[in-house]
Amino acid sequence: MRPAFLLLIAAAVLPAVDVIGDKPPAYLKASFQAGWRMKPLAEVLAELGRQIERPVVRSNAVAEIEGKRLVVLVDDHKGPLGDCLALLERSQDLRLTAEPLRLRVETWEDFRNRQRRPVDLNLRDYGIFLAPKNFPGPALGLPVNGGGGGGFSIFGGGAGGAGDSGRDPAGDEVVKWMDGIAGSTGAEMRGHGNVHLLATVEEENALRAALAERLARQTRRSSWQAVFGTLASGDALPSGVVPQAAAIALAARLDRRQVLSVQALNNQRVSADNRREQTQVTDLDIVGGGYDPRTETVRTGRAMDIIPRLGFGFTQIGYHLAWVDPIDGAFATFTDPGHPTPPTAVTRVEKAGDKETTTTSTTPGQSGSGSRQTIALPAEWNWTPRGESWLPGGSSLVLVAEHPAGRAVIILMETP
Amino acid sequence: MIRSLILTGLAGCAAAAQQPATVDLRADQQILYVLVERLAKQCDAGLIVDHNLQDRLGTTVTLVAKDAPWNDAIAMLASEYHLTVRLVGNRLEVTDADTEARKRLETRIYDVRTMLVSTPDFPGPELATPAIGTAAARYLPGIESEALPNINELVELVQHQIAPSSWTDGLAKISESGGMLTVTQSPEIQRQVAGLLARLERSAARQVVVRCFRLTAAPAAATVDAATWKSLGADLQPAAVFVTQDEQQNHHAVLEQRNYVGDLDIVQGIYDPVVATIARGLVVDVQPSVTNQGVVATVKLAASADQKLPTTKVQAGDGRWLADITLPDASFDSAKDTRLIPSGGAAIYQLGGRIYAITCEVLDYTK
Repeated sequence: MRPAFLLLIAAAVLPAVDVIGDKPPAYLKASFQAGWRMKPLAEVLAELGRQIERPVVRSNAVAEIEGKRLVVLVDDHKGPLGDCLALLERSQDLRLTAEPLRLRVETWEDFRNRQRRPVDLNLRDYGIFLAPKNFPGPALGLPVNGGGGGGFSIFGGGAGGAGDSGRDPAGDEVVKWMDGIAGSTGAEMRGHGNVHLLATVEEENALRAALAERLARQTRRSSWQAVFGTLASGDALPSGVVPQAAAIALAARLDRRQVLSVQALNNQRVSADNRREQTQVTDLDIVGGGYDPRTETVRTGRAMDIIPRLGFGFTQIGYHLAWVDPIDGAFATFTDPGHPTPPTAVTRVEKAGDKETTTTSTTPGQSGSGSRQTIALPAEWNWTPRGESWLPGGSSLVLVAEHPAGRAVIILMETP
Repeated sequence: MIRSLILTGLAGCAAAAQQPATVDLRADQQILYVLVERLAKQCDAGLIVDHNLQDRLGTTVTLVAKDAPWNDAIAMLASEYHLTVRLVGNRLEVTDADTEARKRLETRIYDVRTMLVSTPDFPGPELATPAIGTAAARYLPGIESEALPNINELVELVQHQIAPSSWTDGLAKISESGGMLTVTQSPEIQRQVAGLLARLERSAARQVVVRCFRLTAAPAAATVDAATWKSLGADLQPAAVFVTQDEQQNHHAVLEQRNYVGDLDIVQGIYDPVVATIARGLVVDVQPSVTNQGVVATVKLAASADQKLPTTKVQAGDGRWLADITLPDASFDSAKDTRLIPSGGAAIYQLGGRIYAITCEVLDYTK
């Protein structure tokens, strides 16, 4: 019984051997039927030489192996010699070049070395040295030095550990990586990101494709919004990691809504804020027997500081958000009680006829004036959530806190 | 140089090789080549064999298989002798399975920076009235993890988990640069690498949503199961929600911070006001460890219960008023302990007359 089905190859595409010249040598079209059953390669090549009536030129590497290597290639009918050579090339892992006056037989390595030519690559075109700057958020809240402990800036690495979006790779690291793609190409890095190497067309294409893919990974970017707002205490709300649609619906319900938005390259730290900076006299020092006002700048408002890292199915986002509202502060007034103060003036007096020697004369201190000084005692409501969260595609982060108006809500979501 | 393509066209109907339904694979102490050639004859086909099978074709074989179904015969040759046999046009092609895979190597780049980020702990502030002249409740910088993820370990894991024997032939490669893996492999193995990396990411993405509630009535137990919590907390809205990763310490802190004059020093005979900051609010600091029995949560809970800021007048020796100073009178609820919170349940904290509940919702993307 013959087979259940007949194999018909509609159009088998057979890669042909390389050809030198304006057109393929005529011998490639000659009719030929191979019958090499475990036949040494040397005998096969000799037979081919007789068939095409031209010399078969072997590379040194081929000459070394042709006596030991056996060929199995049996045709059941005659066909073009070119087809047979293509099959021989493929099955023997060799590279054959049909020239008008000869047939060249090489190993792939021989062929590659012969085909390699100088190639100049400007790696800057592929963003190899791209290391976008990081932009940490501003300090909000009562100044740290004042003991208040707001101070967004104290989290230098708080929104994502190392806090760098990428580093400038060393030249030898780049060369090593390129050699891994195309084999040892003798690549050398010279000035301004230019690499000089020897590569075949195929190797150059492979390198450029890998560099382009790397650039595509490097420049992946995402846009983000932080939505700040309040909700009445009793209102139900979704929280945690929620579907984007639920987050958008929640955002629409918020009162006192404020939005900050940024875009970041993959692994880049970016920030945005909307803040008020108010400088006040917040303390008094005693200098020279009197009050010396000390000023500080209190920052209130909203801020976002994020590092989005785009993964396979998730975005890992390092975030540091800040929401600081001023609340009713107070003032304190101090009265200088009045008392003798230290000397306030020093006068240098030269002795008559002696310019080298001087004496000093002091002006006696004055009694305190009883004047009053007022300082501000600021107060604030402060919420600065931070963390490293994983957001599956199409989801958002919803954080909740108590607020004088009910609930404070911050939504961190990716936007188109 | 021209690299052209030759279309061989239809494989010729009259002389077309045919794949038989069954084949005769009998061999008694014969070399494998004889068997392969017989197989080609049964297909009325020519034969072509890859050069790197040369040694294998000399293997002596004994087989008793007269009417072996084609697919079974091919599978046997593949498993026993690692040969890939297929009929292509008018020839039976015999190749080495590994060589076939190598011919289809492709290079792909995987950005694995999400898996190289250390997870810092973010401890919450202490909520207490600071001694005058010392720092108030303040946010603390993150504490970087000592065990930083290592990309070389990731490389080793990929090589160990995915086709371990395929990385040693010098053609398949994996390397790292700038937080990216560059992998040269067959498309099938590339798919496996991508699958492994995606699984690792899903595994790393396990996190916990922590919610804190204020209750008006307390259950007797320190922790309650899911059913009890469902009845207790059904209509409650959380006072605090934050997200932390498994094993990571993180916190929620909402503070009302206020400067006040807490003291007067005498400097150079003048009263120098000492300004301090006092805070009130809610701090929930949790480090969860997700287990099969629930979440083992190390909890630090602190909440302001009451805060008064009365002032006292300071007068000079002659009775003149100089300033007011504030003498805070604050009370706090505070607890620090470790609870095993059942899945869907809650930890209950009774502190004075106030009751707090903490829940941990586990987000596990591997299930």
